[in-house]
Amino acid sequence: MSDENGDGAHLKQVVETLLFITDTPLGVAKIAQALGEKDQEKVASLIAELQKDYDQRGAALQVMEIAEGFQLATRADFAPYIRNLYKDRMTMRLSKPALETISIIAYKQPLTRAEVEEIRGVEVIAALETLLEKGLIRVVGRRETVGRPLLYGTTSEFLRHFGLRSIKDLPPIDSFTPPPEVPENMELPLGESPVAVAASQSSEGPEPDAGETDEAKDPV
Amino acid sequence: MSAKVYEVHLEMFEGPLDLLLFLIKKDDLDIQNIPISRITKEYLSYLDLMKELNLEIAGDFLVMAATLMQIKSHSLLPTQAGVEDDRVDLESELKAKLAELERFQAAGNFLSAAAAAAGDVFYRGMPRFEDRDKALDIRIFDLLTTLRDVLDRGGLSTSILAGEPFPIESRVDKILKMLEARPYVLLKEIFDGETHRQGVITCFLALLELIKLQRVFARQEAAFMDILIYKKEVPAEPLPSVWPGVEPGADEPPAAAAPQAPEAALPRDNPQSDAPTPKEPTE
Repeated sequence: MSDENGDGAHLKQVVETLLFITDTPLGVAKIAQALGEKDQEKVASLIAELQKDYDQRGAALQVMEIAEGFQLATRADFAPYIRNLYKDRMTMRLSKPALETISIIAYKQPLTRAEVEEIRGVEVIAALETLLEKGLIRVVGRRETVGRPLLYGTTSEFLRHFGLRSIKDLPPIDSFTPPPEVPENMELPLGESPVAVAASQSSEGPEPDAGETDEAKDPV
Repeated sequence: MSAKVYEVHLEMFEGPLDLLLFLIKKDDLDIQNIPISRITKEYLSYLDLMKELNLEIAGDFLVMAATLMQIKSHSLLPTQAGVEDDRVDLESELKAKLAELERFQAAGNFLSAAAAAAGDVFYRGMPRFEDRDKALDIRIFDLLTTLRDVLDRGGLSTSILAGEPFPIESRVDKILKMLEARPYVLLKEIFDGETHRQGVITCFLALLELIKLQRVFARQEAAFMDILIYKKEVPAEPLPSVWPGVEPGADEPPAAAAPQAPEAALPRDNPQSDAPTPKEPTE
């Protein structure tokens, strides 16, 4: 590639070194700063070249674009050996309530605990603690309302854990809405099909059909 | 079912909305068109089951029950033009909440898949391995559904002979023994051989206890599939004495021989005792 250009080859090696040594993904700006290179375009193209080099030479490692930056990473093919090395232990797994909580935070950040609880309908203190402890979320400020509650947002570790280049990699939340089979109609009581409503209206009685008259047990 | 056998203090990480959504999905229903009577009935039956297990039911669950019944009763009343605003509000509010939670559950599943896909790539500063955290990887409502299916199987004797307790220790042993021979058992299988409702419930409580003590963990491949119980390989620690009054290591008497145990020390054998069982061994 740019082998005839000694300076380019040198810079590329520096970039490689930085991507190797860092334990968090490095953004282009940060790499440029460390290189003492003002031209970020040039740095970006050096990274791209490096990425291609690694792939073409079939290297064991790869230059990953992840969490708004770049970092050397292992390849998925070798994961079993890494797991062997670390034997009994496992990578982080999140429970369903924790996953639900972090997805709410990811899409609605920054937001307060009360706002998460409003959506989940249950206390989330424990889930928040777990997520904080694992470094997937952090406190990003306070809402300027009564009590100045803490605001939570996701971290770079969140992006890396979920293999996202940036928060924009998340599909839009509306894409998770299942296609409505029945067009929404606020006038319909829950549980009565349009047919049943029509029937009960035509017979003057609002009494629902037999299937709907089951006695519910008292709660408590 | 007056015998307060055992109290399980499980923090509930899932709330009433989760339960409702769970029931709706289980029956393949449409959020926008929920059969309110049926869902209310099911909801209340789960609440009853949780009560029977002495699971702590947060007040929120009762509020939701009241809301459901309010919606239901509204739907039974004659409607007058202009006076139905309340009802529509309650309903549409609930639908909106369920729909929103459903979206975030789906987003959570997406994230879970994303993490699995990204999980084979390691970075420096990463292998952030941690001990198998595994405990309950499934929704408590999935567990409860299996329990209810077993209880509904019929053929279970509901008569309880006085002095025939169902010590949870025996079921703990039973489950651990099943796991000695095999890597995992189906959740349904742990109820095999139980002929009494109380025995089934004791099995279930024993399972919850084992999960809590991190002796076993439960897994489910996908929603509504069979739940598998695995033994957790850990450095053998003595099982902490979690049941009041029983000395750790003391051989618990087999079920039939229990009556000779001092009753004061075994409050769970005391059928009319409604007082909360002490949570900690006296130390």
